[in-house]
Amino acid sequence: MNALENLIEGLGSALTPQNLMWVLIGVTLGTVVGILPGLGNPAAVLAVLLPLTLKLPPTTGLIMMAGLYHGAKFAGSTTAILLNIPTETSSVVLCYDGHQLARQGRAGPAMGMSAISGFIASTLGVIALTFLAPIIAKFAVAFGPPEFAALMVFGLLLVITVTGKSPIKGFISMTVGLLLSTVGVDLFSGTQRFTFGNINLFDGVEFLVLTLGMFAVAEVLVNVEQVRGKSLLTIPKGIRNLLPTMQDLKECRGAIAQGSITGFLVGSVPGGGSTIASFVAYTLQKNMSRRPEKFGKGAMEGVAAPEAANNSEVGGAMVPLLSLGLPGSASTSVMLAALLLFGIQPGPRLFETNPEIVWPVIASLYLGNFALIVLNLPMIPIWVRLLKIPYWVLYPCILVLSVVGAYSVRGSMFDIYMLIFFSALGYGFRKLSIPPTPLLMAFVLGPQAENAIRQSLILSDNDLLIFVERPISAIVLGLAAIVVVLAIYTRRKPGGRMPTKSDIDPEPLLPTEPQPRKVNTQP
Amino acid sequence: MRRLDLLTGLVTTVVGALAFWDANGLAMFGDSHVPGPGFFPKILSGLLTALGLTLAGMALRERDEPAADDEAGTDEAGPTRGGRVRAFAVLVAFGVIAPLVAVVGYVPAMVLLVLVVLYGIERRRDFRSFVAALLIPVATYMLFAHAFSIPLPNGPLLPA
Amino acid sequence: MKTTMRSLGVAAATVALVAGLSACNSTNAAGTGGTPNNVQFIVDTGPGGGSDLFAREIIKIARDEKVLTDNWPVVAKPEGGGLGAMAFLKGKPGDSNFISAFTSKWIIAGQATASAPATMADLTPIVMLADEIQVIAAPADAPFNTLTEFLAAAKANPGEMVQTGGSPNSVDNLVALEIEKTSGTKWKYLSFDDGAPRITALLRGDAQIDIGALPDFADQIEAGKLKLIGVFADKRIDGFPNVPTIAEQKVDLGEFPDHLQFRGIAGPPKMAPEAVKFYQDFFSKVTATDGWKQYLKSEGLVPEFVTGDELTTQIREFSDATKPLVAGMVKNP
Repeated sequence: MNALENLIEGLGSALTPQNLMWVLIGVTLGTVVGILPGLGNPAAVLAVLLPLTLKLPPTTGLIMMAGLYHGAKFAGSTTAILLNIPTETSSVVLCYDGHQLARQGRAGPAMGMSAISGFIASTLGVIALTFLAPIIAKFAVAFGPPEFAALMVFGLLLVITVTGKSPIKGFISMTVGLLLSTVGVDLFSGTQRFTFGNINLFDGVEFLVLTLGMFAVAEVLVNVEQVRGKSLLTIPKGIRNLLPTMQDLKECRGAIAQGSITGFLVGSVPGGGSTIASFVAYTLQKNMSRRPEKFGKGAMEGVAAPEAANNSEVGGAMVPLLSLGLPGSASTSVMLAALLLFGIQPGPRLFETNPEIVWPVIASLYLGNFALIVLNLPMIPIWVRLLKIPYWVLYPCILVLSVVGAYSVRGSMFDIYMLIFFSALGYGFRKLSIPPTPLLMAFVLGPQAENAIRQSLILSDNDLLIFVERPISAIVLGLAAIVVVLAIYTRRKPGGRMPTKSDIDPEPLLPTEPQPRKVNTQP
Repeated sequence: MRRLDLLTGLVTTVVGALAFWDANGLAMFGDSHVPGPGFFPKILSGLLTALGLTLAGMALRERDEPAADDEAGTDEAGPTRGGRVRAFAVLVAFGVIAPLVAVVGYVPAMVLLVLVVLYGIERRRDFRSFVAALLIPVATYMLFAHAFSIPLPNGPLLPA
Repeated sequence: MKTTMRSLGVAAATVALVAGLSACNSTNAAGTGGTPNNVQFIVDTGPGGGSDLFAREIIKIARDEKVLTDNWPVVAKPEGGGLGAMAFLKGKPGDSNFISAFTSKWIIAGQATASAPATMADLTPIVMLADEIQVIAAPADAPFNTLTEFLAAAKANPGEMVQTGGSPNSVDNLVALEIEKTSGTKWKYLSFDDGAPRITALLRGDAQIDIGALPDFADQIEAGKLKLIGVFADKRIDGFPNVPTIAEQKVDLGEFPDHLQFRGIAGPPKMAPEAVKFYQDFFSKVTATDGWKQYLKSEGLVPEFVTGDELTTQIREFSDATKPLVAGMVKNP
C-alpha cells in the first residue's frame, strides 16, 4: 500500500545518525524537564524547549520534538507513579494503581510496565494508522456531541467505581470536583459561574494548581506527620525488582491490547484525547478483569491499560490529521503549532504534496518512543533511587517547585493563593478520610461532560432520545450500563450492603518498613 | 471518627447550600428549555447538600461502635501529636510565606520558606540546611527564569 | 553564648546573601515616557495561540529584516480572553515599554462584563495591522449556495438550522444575531470550545453554517467537503470568484461594519506621543517587508495600516455596534 511504502521510506530517512542523536537528546531533555511540575505537560515542555528545536533543520527539529514529547509524557507518568503527583491530565489515572505499586516497593516494575506497554501500544498505533486510516476517519467524523456525552458518562463511571471503601465520601469528593469544574465563564451563555467577579477565575480553576495543591503539597503535609528523617519509599534490592517480570507482562497482555485499541479509537476523534482515553481504558480494564478488586491497590493492568491508551492515542490523533487536516487532540495540536512555526502548513494537501516531510514525522514519533524505551528503561533504577533522597531534602524541593509550577502556568500570583487553598483543602480531605482522587477525576471530566450533554440537547431541542437514536452513542451507553450492572453485582457479593465506618480507610500512609503495614487488615 | 464524620457532613452541607445560593442568579433553563448555565451547578450543589446531610446522619446513627474509633486498622496509630503539629506548621508557613513572593520576590521568599521549614520545623540547624535553603530557590530560579524564560516575580527591594 | 553568636552570624550571612541573590532577580528597567528601551509584547493567549503566534511572527520578521536588533519577549496574560491583558496594561499608564496585540475580542470582552477591570477605551491604540476576512462555510452538499438562500431556508424552518461556533460572545454569533434581527429569522447557535469539533459538526451534518476565517476551512474546501456561501468583505476574495460578498447579497448587517475581526497594536493609557510614533515607525517598516505580506496572505489576512483618528473611529464604530447586542445577551453582574 502506498501508505506502507511511505512509512518505510519515512523511517529510512528518519534513521540518520544525526537524527538519532537528536532524538535521544530530545528524549532526555523532555524527561528531565517534564519531571518538573508546571512543565510536566507536553504542551508546556514543547513551548519552552521549542526554541532549541527551531535551530535545527526542519526534519531533524521535528524529530527532536518527537523525542521531547515522549520524554515529557514519560516524565508525567514517572511523577504520577513515584510521587502521586499527576502533572498532566492523562497521568491522573496512573496515580491510582501506579502509586500503590510504588508504595509496595514495585515502583520500578510500574514504570517499566508504563514504558513497555506504551511502546507496544504506539507500535500498534502506527500500524493501525498506516493501514486503517480511511476507515477510522469515517468513524471519527461520526462522533458528535451525543457520542461524546456517552463517552463522558463512561469516564464518570470510572470515578464512581473507584470511590472505594466509603462511597458517600467518594461521592462528596466527586461532587465537589464537578462543582469546581463549573467555575468560570459558561461556554454556551457567556455568563459567569462562581467567579465572584474575579477575573482570574473567568477561565476556571487551573488544573495544575489544583493538582499541585491537593496532591503534591497535601501529600507532603501528610507525610511530614509521619516521617522523621527517613526516605520516602522503600527501594527493593536487586535488579529483578526494578523491572516488570515476565509474569507481569503475561498478565497484562489483555490490558495492553485493550488499551491500545481504546486509545487509538478515542484519539482519532477530534476533541478526544489522552485523558479520556486513559480513563476509558482503565474503566474497561477494571470491569473486564477477573479480579476487579485488585484495581486501586496496585494492579499492574491498572498501569498497563491507561498507558497503552495514552500512547496509541497519538497515532489515533494522526488519523483526522491525515484525512481532515484537523488535530485529533491536544497532543497533535501542539505538534501542529510547532509545524506552523517551522513554516509547514499541515493538512490533507500536505500528505499529497509533501510526503517527504510528513512520513518522517510519523516515523519519528515512533522513533521517539523507541528511544524512550532504550534510554529510560535502564534509567528507571536511577529514577527510583531518587526516592532515596532523605525526605527532609525532598519535601522542601517539592514545596518550592509547587510554588514555581503554580505561578508559571499563567504568571499569576492568584494561582499561588489558590495553591495554598487547595493545599489546605487536600490536607483537610485526607484528615477527614475523604479520597481526593475522585475530585480530581471529576474536575477533569466535568467540563467535557457538561458541554457534550448541553450540545446534544441543543441539537435535539431537548429531546433525550438523541442519545439512543444515534448508533455509536447507543452502543457506548449500552457498554456503560453493562459496567454499572457488573459493578453493582460484584459489590453485592462480598459483605453485601454499604460498608460500615470501620471500612473507611484513607489512602494508606507512608510505610516506613518494607513489610506491608497493619493498615491493610481488610482484605 | 464519628464526630469527625459529623463535622465533615455538616461542613459539606453548608458548602453545598452556599454554592446553591451563589448559583441562584444563574438560569436553570435556556432557550426552548435546554439546560442553562444554572442547571448543573444547582443540581450539583443540591446533591452536595444532600450528601452532607446523609453523612451527618450516618455519623449520628453510629453511636454504637465507639470501640471502632481507635482500631488498629487505620492511620490513627501513625501520626503522632508532634507529627500533626509539624504538618500544620508547615501548612501555616507555606500559607504565610508563599504570598510573600509578590512582596519580596521569588528567591527571598522561597529561601525564607526553606529556612523556616528546615530550621524551625525540622530542627535541622546545621550547615547543610543552610545550603539547601539557598540552593533550592536559586537553582529553581535559574532554571525557570533563565533557562526557560518564564519570568518570576521580583520584589520592591530590587533596583528597578 | 557561642550558639547564639553562631546563629546571629548565620542570620547575618543569610541576609547578606539573600540581598545579593535578589539582585539575580533583575527585572526590566521600567520605561518611562520617551522611547522604549526594554519592550515586552503582551498577548492574550498562551504559547501557540493566535495572538501569540501573531506577535512572534512580527518579532521574527522584524529581526530577520534587521528592523529589530534585540529580542522582545512575548508575555502571556490569558485571563478573561483579553481582560487580563487590558487590565495589565491599564496598570502601567504612560509606560512605553509595553505593547499588546489586540483583536476585536477585546472590545467585546470589555462590554460583556459590567465589572470589567479594563476596557478597550482605556488603552492607547497605536495601529491596526490586519483585517481577518470572515467567511461563511457550509457542507458541500447543502441545498443552499448563498447566504440569501440559507436565510430563506431558515425562514421556512425557524429555530431549526444550526450555526456552529465558539462562545456566544464572539463576533460570529453577534453578527448572526444582527442578521437574524434584520431578516426576521432565527436559528440555533451550537458552541464548541475548540475549532476541530466545529468542522466535524459541519461535515457530519449536525450544523449548517460556520462563520470563521478562511484558513480554518481552506483544507476542507480544497478537499471538496465544504463550500463558501458568502464573505464579509468589500470585494470578492482571491481564489473564490464565485462567492458573492454579503453586501452583494444585500444582506442587511444593521449597524455592523463588515470588518469583523481585526488585529492591531495598542499600548497602555496615556502613552507619550513620541512612543506612539516610535511604534508606528517600527510597524510601518515591518509591514513594508515582503515577509510580512507573505505571512498575511498565508493566514488569510488583509494588510491594513490605520492610525490616528481613523483608527479610533474604527474601534468606536465596532464597539457601538456590538454593545447593544452584547448587552442583550449576556447578563453578567
